[in-house]
Amino acid sequence: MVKIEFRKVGKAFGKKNRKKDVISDMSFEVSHGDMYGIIGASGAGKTTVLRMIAGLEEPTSGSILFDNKVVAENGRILVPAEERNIGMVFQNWALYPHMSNFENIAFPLRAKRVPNDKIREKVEYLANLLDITETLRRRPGLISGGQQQRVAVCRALSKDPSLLLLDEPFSNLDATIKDSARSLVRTVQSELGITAIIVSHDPADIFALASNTLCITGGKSGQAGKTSDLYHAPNSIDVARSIGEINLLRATVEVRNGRDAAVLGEENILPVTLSQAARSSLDSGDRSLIVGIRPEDIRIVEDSQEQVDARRWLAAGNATVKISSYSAGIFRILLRLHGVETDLATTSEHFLPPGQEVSMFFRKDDVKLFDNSGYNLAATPAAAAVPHQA
Amino acid sequence: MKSRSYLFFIPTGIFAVILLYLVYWNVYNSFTNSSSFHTTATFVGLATYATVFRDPVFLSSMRISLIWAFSLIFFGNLIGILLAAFLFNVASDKIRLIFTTIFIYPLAISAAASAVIWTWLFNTNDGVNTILRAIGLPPYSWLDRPSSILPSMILISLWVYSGLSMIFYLASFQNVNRESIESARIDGASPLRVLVRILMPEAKNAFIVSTALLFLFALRIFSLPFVSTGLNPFTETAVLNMYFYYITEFFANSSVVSVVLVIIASIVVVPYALYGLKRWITHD
Repeated sequence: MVKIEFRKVGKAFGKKNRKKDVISDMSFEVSHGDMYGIIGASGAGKTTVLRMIAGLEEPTSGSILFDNKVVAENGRILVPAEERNIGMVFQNWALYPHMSNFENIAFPLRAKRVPNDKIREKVEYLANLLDITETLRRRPGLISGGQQQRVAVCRALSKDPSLLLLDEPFSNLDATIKDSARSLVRTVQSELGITAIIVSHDPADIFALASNTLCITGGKSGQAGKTSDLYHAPNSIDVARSIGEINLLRATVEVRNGRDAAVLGEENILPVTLSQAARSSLDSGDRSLIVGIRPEDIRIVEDSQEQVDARRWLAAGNATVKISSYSAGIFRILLRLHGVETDLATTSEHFLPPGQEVSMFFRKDDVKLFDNSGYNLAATPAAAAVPHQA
Repeated sequence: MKSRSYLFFIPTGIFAVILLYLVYWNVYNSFTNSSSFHTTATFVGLATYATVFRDPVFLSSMRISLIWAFSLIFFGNLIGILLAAFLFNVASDKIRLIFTTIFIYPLAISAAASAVIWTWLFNTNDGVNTILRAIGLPPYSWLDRPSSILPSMILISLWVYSGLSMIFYLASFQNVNRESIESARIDGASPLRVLVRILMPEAKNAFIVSTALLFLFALRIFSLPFVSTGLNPFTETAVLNMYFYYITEFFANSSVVSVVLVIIASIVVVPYALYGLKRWITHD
């Protein structure tokens, strides 16, 4: 197990006057034995961070520490990759096509000149753990993608690394086997108790595996912390988008019935509670903000007579169903909220025909408010709902 | 569309016809007694072949050419692999470019010029022997003894052609998945282990092309021994191409030697062509 620390790390590519900052001022910490996620859009800098941890790239500025010992800083690698005791699973698995799977897994051990009997013992143990024993005599080109991925994981684990790095390990797998692959990695990491870092653009990978996550946006640390916190309380719209789908609506803050309210369009009013700092920020501008609501935090009510618990749900207004599509046992519904020129996505257990009129409610505790720069105002919706005005 | 595509074949077709005709004419001529002494050539069957294969000068030239060819193949490939491995591990693109240019530059020099340069370098009193004396080693008779002259010539041809071999291997190494190399690096594999276990197994094509070309270039060698040691069929560097000058009046004999060279070259090239064709068909 190892603890990883980034201290104000920056990375630039290019020569002299044409340097481009890919990573800037990044600081985070990975604890011993943690399963840590790094998420971000394509090109955000995730793989660059992973490569710096692996020792394949040097940081242009800042320091990288393993167990409080500096391994790279300010343009220099002080501890090369081969001395960091890392096992790495690359996005394309990087298996050696001309070697059998046995030899692929044994490769790190042969490089360390481990005796043959110990190699056999280790390879067979790992193959049994990951259920690929029957493929050991075959070459990577003759086995399935899922099996190749497991061979790659075995190879990474064969030298008993203190750190396991996974770079988009499931991106080349079919959707049907991704879940079992994630479960496998989770089991292996917890059984062996090693520190692991997984990089992915897919929130599903991060939620399945990582207890703590760093979200990289535009080459900077957008937010780091518990994965659930990034989801429920994102610092910014970029973080919110990186970790899951979110609907965004433009609104203005007004005072209605003596309390703050976010007004969507002309008719849709969401009562909100703003901190003093948030109110000052809005007062200094044009009082506009962005309301964010995740699809699963939207409730559709078809029957206008149905009672909805106002302690938990805020009435957002009436909406028209635009389209219903089906995927993986659930319907994905696109709605147009009346008075707002934005489509909102949500889910439903049953089909809703296009054109149907429904009432829309937002889960009170999960409405997010962002300023015009996209940063979370850290506001919460009001405890008591203002009656919806038709 | 199909009929228009045949138009592209016309230039190749014309040259193929001319080439095949000349090959046919050469093969036919080898079965005659054509020479300056026979105004009209007559068909003699395998008699000319028998004459040539009984000529000790031909047998000696053939032996020297084959020794040269196999030495160039073995050491040329070896040096090519080592140079390619060195360049592959150079981190800086600029330095790699500089060294690549240095290593392939001999190919740009004519063989005769190379021969003149190395004749001076292999001089008993000057050149390389100056360096050997400076570091306390005895001078060597590079071109002065029958036993050392052929190895010295082979050394010169290695200097000329190893760069070509290097190019093929370097291209092959650079096609290997970068992540495979990085994975091996993380696993603590030394550059030698990476070369032997990862790069070389992926360099099959480079080996085939390099071997075929080195073999063909070795069979074509003429200027190097001619300029260095002169046209003497009884020397240790009298290669097959110099034998043509020895039998210059005997056209049929020359045709026999040409046919023999074509057969030897075909033995090397045809299997490669078939292998490449098989891979193209099976999309391997």
